[in-house]
Amino acid sequence: MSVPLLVAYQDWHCPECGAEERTPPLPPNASRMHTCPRLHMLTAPMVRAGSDCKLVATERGDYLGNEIQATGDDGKPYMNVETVHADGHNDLAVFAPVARGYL
Amino acid sequence: MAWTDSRIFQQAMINPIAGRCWTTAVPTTYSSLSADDIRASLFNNSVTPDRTVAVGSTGYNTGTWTTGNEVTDVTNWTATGRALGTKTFTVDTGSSSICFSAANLSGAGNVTITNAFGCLIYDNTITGGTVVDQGLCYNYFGGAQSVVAGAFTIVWATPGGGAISAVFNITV
Repeated sequence: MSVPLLVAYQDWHCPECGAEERTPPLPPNASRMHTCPRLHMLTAPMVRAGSDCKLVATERGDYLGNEIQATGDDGKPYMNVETVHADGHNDLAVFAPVARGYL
Repeated sequence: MAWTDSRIFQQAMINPIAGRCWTTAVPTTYSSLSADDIRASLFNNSVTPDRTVAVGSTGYNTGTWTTGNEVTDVTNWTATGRALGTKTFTVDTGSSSICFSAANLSGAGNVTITNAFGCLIYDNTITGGTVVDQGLCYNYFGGAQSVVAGAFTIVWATPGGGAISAVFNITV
């Protein structure tokens, strides 16, 4: 008797730019990142296929000063990309600036 | 004054980061940034980060970094924070700096986090000598970060001209 060999996979997509990816199954809290042309070329999460959501890039809320933080192709610093789900919950990819020192 | 920027503590630079330059006793039970348990804890806007403070005020739950100011999730981003993984300490020629890097950091599962403004990076392996759980640096997110029953991921920035992301870097 032949036994079918099933290969599990997870499909991901970006609701903004439409990028798609297929991976092996990942843990529930795992995230996949990509560089999103619709979000100022920021590093943005992909969502599991079938998710009803949108991505929103949030500009840094404070003076940038000498900080090094993720900057979009529009020249503005961004502090996060928020995934806003239709059911009311959200996810955050927070851009942490580099802590710097000098020698 | 609350958060203003992201910095390495002066005391962390002199010991343990540059500790081999002198006959300075290493912090108790400190091994290395690669071997030690380096953690990121989230904090609210009531802290007053200061890179110049005495070493005794740089540790987790000392100085301004008290647990009363810490932001946690009940289950998946608890007090003492989350351990950094996939750490490296290497030269980035593009930015002419030495970078301490780690993988992007997520909660153990979905979290509810309210008004996290930044994180303290500290060595959870150090038990004394300098200060217990000595702080290495702090990173200011630039505003309040809140999430409801969702994923929370810290994505480390890449220094200008650089090729790799960094938790902290030292320009040389």
